[in-house]
Amino acid sequence: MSIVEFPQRSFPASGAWSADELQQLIALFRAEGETSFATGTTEHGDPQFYLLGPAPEHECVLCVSRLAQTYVLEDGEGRLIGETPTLDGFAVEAARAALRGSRSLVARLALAWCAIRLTIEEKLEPIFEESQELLVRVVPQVAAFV
Amino acid sequence: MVRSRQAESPAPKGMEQRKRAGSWLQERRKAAGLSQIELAQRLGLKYYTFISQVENGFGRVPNDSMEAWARALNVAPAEFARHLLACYEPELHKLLFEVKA
Repeated sequence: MSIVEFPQRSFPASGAWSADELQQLIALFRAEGETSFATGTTEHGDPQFYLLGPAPEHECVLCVSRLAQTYVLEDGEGRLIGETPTLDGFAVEAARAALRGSRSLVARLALAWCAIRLTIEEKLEPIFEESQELLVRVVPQVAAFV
Repeated sequence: MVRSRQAESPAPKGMEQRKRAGSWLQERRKAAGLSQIELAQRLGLKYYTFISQVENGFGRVPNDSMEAWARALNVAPAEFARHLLACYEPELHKLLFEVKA
């Protein structure tokens, strides 16, 4: 019997966000409108990413923190929205949170947007790319017959 | 197109006020001999990350948990609420406690 070893996800020990994580977070929360964010760390050196609301208040709408091997998502009032081992997992958490009535409207809208955008990127874009490839192959052949 | 951007500096007024409140809360917590984790435990929070969010000036102490925060930090609830009101809503604080009729 052979055992296939899956590559281990490497989590930075603590401290600042890695460039990859930061890019992922920005991509995850990017919206059509202007979005501000800020980063910080806890007393224990765990990194935090703050998605900020509109000017002039710039109050925190959502906060992502990395604790050991878990990403924790909270709203601006400290309500726990989700916890997941990967940042992509927030799409599922987001969809769940969006359905709950108790969350703040801004948080729900932001989360719903994340869920929709991730679904589009993950499911629909490959389909469009595939059809485009198919068209590129088929069109010249059809044109040859005409 | 990514239009996300890092919050501009200098910090907007609201953020400055929250940072002032955050620094005061951090002082109170340290005076009470508590770590962020211990304070979160006293407040019944699963994670301590919200304490950091508030102390870093990005969040506010919610009104409905102000009393619990005050008691956890060994501060009289009325004094605690008044101090935070002065930081978060200085105009309202002024009207309530400073402007004489």
